[in-house]
Amino acid sequence: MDEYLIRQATKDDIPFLVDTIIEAEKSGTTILTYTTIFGLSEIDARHYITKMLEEEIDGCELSVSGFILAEKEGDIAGAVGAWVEGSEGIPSNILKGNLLRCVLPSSCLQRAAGLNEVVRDLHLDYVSGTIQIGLVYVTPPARGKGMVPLLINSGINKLKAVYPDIKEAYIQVFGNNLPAIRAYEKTGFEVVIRKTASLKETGRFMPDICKVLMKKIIL
Amino acid sequence: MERKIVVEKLTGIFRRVFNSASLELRDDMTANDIENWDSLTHMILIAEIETAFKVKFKLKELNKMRNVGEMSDLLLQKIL
Repeated sequence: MDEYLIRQATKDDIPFLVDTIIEAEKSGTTILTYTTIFGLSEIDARHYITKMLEEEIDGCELSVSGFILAEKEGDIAGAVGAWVEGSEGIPSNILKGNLLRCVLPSSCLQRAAGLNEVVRDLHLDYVSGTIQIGLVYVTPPARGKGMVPLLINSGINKLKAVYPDIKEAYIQVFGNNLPAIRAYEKTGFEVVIRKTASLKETGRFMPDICKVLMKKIIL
Repeated sequence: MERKIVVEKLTGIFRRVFNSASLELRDDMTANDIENWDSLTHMILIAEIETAFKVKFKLKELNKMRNVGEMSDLLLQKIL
């Protein structure tokens, strides 16, 4: 794996980060919550995700500075987003909610307001003061080469250098994404919570009816 | 508008958005203190506040609000 250059993302990487967010959100399915919850086409979702990333807000899953990339001969092979929950003094959910409010058109809000119960159905809280691994994506040609552990451990090490007292990292993944769960287990994570949807309609709007929380103890 | 009236109006909005009729706001209250205060609910909450108080927040203003008290203070500034 040492032929891959690991580096922090910059604004120039936003197109790849948009791919990362879209593919990670789909969780191996064709269901994109930006479409099902906000009513956006995938093209429009890409446009608004780009605008949110361009705001460069630190401390949430839509922070350019939170992404680590693996690159080889100028081609990006994968990305992972990671942050310390609450590091900016505000929960990441609030920072993301502010971005959604200021960037998405009001029609999205009206639609989403009617689906709030569905979104809450699989919501899992982020633990303040811990490392959160947000969105993970590896391009198809780079899969099966140990890229996920490389990216996630790089993200953890980068944050650990700044916050040495942190002892836990968490990642949330949809239950259908077994390859991702296996890759996270190989990275040292173990399942701590499986949350299954209580509403019948949740499965129509989300990639799966089960959300899994995984935890890794950091030495 | 007095701060007390701002807080009363905010309390009504919070109770409606979080579906909690007994919710009482405190200045030091944050998203960690109220169940289901996730990103989508926050987006809805801010939109409801903007409509009720006839104001529009900038992203920088929103990202400075760390608790309910700071939200009340900012609202007071914007509606004066």
